[in-house]
Amino acid sequence: MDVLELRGVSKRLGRRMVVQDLDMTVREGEVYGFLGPNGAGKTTTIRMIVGLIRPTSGIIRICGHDIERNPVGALKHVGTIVENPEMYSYLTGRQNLIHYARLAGVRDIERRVAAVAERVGLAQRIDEKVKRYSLGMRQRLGVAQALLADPKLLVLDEPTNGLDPAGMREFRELIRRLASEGMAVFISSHLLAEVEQMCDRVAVIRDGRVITEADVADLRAGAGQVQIRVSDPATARATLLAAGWKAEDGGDRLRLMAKDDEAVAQAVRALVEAGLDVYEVTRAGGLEQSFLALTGAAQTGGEADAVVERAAQ
Amino acid sequence: MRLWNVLRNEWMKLVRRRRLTVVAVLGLCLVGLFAFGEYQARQNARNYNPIVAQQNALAELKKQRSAIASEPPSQARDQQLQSIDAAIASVQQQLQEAKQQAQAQVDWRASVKTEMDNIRQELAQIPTGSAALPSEQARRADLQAELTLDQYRLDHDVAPVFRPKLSAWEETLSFLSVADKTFIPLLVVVLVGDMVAGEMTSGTIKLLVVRPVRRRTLLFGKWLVSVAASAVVSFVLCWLFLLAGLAIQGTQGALEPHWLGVTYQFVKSPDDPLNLTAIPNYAHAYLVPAWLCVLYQSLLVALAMAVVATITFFCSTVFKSSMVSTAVAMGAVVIGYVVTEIATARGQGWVRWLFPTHLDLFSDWNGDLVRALQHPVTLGSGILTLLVWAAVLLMLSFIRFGRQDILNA
Ligand SMILES: Nc1ncnc2c1ncn2[C@@H]1O[C@H](COP(=O)(O)OP(=O)(O)OP(=O)(O)O)[C@@H](O)[C@H]1O
Ligand SMILES: [Mg+2]
Repeated sequence: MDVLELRGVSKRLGRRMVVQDLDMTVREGEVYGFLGPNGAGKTTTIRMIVGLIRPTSGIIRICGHDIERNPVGALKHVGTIVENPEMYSYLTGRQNLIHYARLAGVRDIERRVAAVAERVGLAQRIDEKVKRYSLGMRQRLGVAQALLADPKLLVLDEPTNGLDPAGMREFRELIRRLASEGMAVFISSHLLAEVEQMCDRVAVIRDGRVITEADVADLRAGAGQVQIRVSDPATARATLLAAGWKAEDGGDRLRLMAKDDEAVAQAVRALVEAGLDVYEVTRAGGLEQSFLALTGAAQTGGEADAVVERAAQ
Repeated sequence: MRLWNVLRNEWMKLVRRRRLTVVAVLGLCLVGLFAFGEYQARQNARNYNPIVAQQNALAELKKQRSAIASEPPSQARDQQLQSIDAAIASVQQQLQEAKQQAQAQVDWRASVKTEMDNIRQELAQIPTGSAALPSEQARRADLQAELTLDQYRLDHDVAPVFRPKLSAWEETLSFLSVADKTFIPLLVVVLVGDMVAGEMTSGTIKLLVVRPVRRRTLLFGKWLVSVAASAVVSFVLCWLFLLAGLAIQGTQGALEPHWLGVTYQFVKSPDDPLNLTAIPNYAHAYLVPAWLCVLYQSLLVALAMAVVATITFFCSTVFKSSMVSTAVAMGAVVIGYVVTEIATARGQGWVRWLFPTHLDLFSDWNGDLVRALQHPVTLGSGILTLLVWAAVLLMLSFIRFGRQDILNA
């Protein structure tokens, strides 16, 4: 079932088209990554999905309800964090959650609040004022409020901001578990690694347009570049080309696509049989390379490189 | 059901925000100041003996006169003597009145009856019917009202409050008639100024409007809580002033009658061609005891403050920064006060369409405003003016909030 559907969604802010002609579908139980550099239009898209702003054109449906025509019906199924999850700092974590639960139409508010607090690991400090929370604790509280109404669609805008490594892992596990329970999750991020670890599918957005959309599994499979350092690159290249490989010259290294270990072994054997010395064989990039290939960032440079740089951190 | 939940939320936030504390502290400070002022007034009234004071003044004047009289005669000396004689005559008159008052305290009924006889005598000399000048008609109506009031005293056994005693009820009424145009509205502005803008500033508005609740329900809940809180706070404040007054002055004067609902007609009188003469009409007016006036006054203050809350609420939805929205609403109250005071004193009729003119609705009712403004204003028209302001601005708030893109929060 399609939980979230965007059809030809555009948004103009001032003179600029900040988001243009987005088409996306997120299914039940799917974690959908929305990847793009700063200023790409991720937050703007998310604001449209949760009804904070109106699209200039296009339609957004959540569980079949048009967000503009029937916001109440659509938002019943949504939990969200938009940018930073600002809370009422003069209230305690529990009061904040009760506040949102009342609006979300939760039945047994007290039990539900305790349950989500437990789930995000805040149960110990839920009765403290939010102004005493650390950034990571606020982020957890943000996730907790998004889960309150047991939504069918979770829309998260860079949710791992401020989480420590352990918190990040917990968060990933939580998201995967929620998805396995059938929740659809839409996560924006500029961290490639994060998307790679959490998502089933990913769309890459730049300058307000989706450049590409792909299954993460396909990307992984396609990521088979190998770099080989040999004694005589020119001869080696000729040898490999003759043997039917698409080898590229990369300075003192050769680059070629080899999907699995068997292919690597064959290439190395061919080189050795041709009397060349093989010093080093490395698998390069993984998803990063695939993305570069997909998005053409190697040519256009700039922002997309920054994405990958941060992913490498 | 959803609205009920919104109300509970907004109430929870309101009572926990620091602004409520600020308002409470400021309000209590003012009650303290009022109490201090009342204490001073009581001490002054106690230490002041009018008979002794007038006698002293008289002795002083007589000494001056004999000093001047002993100078060699000249025109300047004669003039001085003349003016000092006039002063002596006026002090003697006041001394006489003070003595009468002292007498009245012994037997107030007799003195009220004497006064009524005097009024009847004066009434007999004023021509009736169409022969009467407007100023004479006005005088007649006022004298008759005084007569009715005196009769009320006798019928209901209401003794006037004599100095050195003061009536806490009167003191509260006159204090409130200023405070409800200046200080109390400012408290309301502080309380309500960030109701929506605060959530925009802090960014909490995002997680509020992404709930399955209509924006208009959210806004309506916020508005109801703002209005209710402002009304309650100002009503309680009114009674705190009264309680402070009662604690210091005592309870006397609770039954002192006041005229309410007097209407006026403004005409040019041939004997005073420069000014309009106000002819009061007591046909639909009634006498109300002071304690009930305070109750009415505080209810009217609560109503007017609900309107101020609505106006502030409008500012709060229009401006995204709570600082700006509070400042603009405060400016509206302060500038509005200054402008309407000046324009009212000059009798400019257009100010009756402005909301600050009617913040002291009690003055619409007891005729103070009409007499200053010289244009027809009644309690009903005052309330209507306020309600129209509130309704229009509330509607604009809804239009604004319902469609707004929430981008920068
Ligand atoms: N209020 C606004 N008026 C005009 N343009 C805006 C406004 N808000 C954002 N933009 C522009 O819209 C574009 C997309 O912004 P958006 O916040 O959606 O980016 P983002 O992908 O979330 O970036 P980041 O990774 O930094 O969060 C940016 O170029 C930004 O300058
Ligand atoms: Mg963003």
